[in-house]
Amino acid sequence: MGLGAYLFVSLLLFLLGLVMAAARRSLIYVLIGLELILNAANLNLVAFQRFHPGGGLDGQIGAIFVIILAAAEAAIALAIVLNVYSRFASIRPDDMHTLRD
Amino acid sequence: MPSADFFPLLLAVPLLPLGAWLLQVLVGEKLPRGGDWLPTGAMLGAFGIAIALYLRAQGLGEEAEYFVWSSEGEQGWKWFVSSEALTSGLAAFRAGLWYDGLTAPLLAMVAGVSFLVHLFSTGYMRGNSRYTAYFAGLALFSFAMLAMLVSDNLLFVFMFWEVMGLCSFLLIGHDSLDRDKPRTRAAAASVKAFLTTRVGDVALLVGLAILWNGFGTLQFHELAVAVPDMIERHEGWPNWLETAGLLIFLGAVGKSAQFPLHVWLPDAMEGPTPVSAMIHAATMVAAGVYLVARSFPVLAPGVLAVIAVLGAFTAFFAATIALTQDDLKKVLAYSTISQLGYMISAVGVGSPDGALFHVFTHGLFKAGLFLGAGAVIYACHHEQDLRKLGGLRKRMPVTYASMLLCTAAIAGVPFLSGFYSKDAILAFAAEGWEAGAGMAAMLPLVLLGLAAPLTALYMFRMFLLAFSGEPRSEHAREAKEVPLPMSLPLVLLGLGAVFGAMLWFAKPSPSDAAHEIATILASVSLVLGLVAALLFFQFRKLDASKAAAALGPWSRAARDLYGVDGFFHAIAVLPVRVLGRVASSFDRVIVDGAVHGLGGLALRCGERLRQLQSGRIQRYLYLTYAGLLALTLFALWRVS
Repeated sequence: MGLGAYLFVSLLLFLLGLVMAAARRSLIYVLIGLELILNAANLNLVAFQRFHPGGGLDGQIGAIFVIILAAAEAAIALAIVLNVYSRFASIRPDDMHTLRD
Repeated sequence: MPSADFFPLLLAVPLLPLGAWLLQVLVGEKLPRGGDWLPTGAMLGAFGIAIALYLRAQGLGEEAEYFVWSSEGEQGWKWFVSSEALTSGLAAFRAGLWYDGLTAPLLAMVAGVSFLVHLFSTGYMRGNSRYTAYFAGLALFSFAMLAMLVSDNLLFVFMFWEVMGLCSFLLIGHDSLDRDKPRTRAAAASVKAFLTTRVGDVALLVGLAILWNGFGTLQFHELAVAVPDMIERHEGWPNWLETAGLLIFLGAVGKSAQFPLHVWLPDAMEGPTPVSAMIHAATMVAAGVYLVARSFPVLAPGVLAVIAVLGAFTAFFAATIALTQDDLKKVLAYSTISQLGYMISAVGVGSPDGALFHVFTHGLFKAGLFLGAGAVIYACHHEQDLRKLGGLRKRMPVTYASMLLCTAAIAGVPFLSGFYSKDAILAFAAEGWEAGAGMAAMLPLVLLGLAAPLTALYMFRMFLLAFSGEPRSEHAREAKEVPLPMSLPLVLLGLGAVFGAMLWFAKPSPSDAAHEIATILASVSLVLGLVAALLFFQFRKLDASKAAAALGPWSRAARDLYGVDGFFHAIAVLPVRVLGRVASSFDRVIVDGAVHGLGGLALRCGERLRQLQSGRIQRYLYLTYAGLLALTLFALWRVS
């Protein structure tokens, strides 16, 4: 399997995450979409490292960092979602539009 | 001769009113009586010192005509000493005080008249809503004139000259800011006076620059030495020097209201009447004559000829207008222009002493006339139309007596002050006619000779219309004599009009033949004018309106002021107004348009852009993707 296959899967993941974040009617799904996008990026990092002539582990380490950050982000984001729910009694993104002109 | 205590005293004369002005501006409102006693007292002090100095000068006896006290030398102030000036051999600018046989009586006269005007104003201006400001203006005005008289150089003269211009603006427009009934015409008149004299001032400044460039000094006594030197070296008058003389004269044309820049002076009658006395007798208009008389050494023969003819023409021209005026103050205004014409013409025919002599006597009797007119106006509840006055002789005996003396003096009744000074001017004009040849040499004498009977006629016309006959209005019938602060100045100035000529040191001495011509001319003129005035306005043997009709177009032209005002309106006021309109619409349409247009554009853009901020996060996300996509496509297109 060549680099192209990895990149193709990564692209697929990215697009799925993108559509999910943009189109789903629940904040939880939006968050999942964001996770998918992050993982698409991770896959790219790892794949490029693997097919890079120099070898080494830089890409993998970068991916691990992203996973850690994603975990932290998910924790904060879920906390925000809880607060949003207690304020708006809903987690539909469309219901939250008080931050406007 | 000058002793050490002399200069502080001389300096105190202008500084007293200056100090009074400063105090009046700072704390005048809080003082009792609006602080009017402060400038009045300061002027009394200045007058006292001026008299003391005058008496000391008189102690010189025969020498009095020629003496000079100057602060030159160790007491002279040296200014603008730059290293460049030292190396190039140019003198630094030096200024000092100057007091001679011409200054002495003038200084005393100006201080005295100013004091009397202050005193008169305490009665006349009572209850005015800007009483304090009025006295501040008077004090500054007196300061400027007194300081100008003791200056020994043209630059200082110019500076105080400009201060006077400012003061005349403030005082002529005094009533325009009145709390009870503001007069917009006063504002227009003050602007007119300021701008018209400004025309002359610019010319004067250029003239001074030329002189400084040519001689490196502006001091009168140095110029008097440097100019003959220059003429000798140059074998004639250099063109630039002639030009400088002409420009200096133009300055005086503006300030001393000579044709064609006389238009501001009649309008200046909008100011309170004591101000008219101040401006038209003692200070501002006399400044122009003083300047020309002091600058006499730098005036080339050609320039002098122009001065003589223009002054004589103004004297005649204004006299004819004065005959047609029905406003008490307007008659006096045109008589002032006419008398100033005499003075200016006197310089032109080679007698600056005679000009200053007439400044001196005219200052006394014209101040008396204006203050008398002020008393009449005050007593008649601001009625100043001659057709509605009359019969004031019995009702206001003091004013009547004072006005009679002053009118007689200006008309040239023998042994009164005006007779001597006018006689001297006519004599010098006659001398010029004898010495010169052709029309140009004769013109000043002819025009001045024609103006003389007219002077007697219009002055007695005004006098008789106001004081004799029956009252022609309710106001005139109810008139009462004015209170003491106003009648005292009238009495003193009436006495001044009689004895003023004796106080003058440097009696001009024309040749006997010329003197004879002048005396005959003056006497015949007086008799002619006086008889005509009596026939027309006292005994009513002749009808003035028929005489005016007989003169037809001429009398109408004089009534229309010969169209000079209209001419200036057409060539100066209208173009400026049109320019103003254009500039204003350019400002409104183009400049404001650009500013408002930019602002409006930003506002409209904002209106559109704010709709993007909907508060819906997923829409933001779409926009972000769109932006990202666009950037990516752009980058790809650039790379390929």
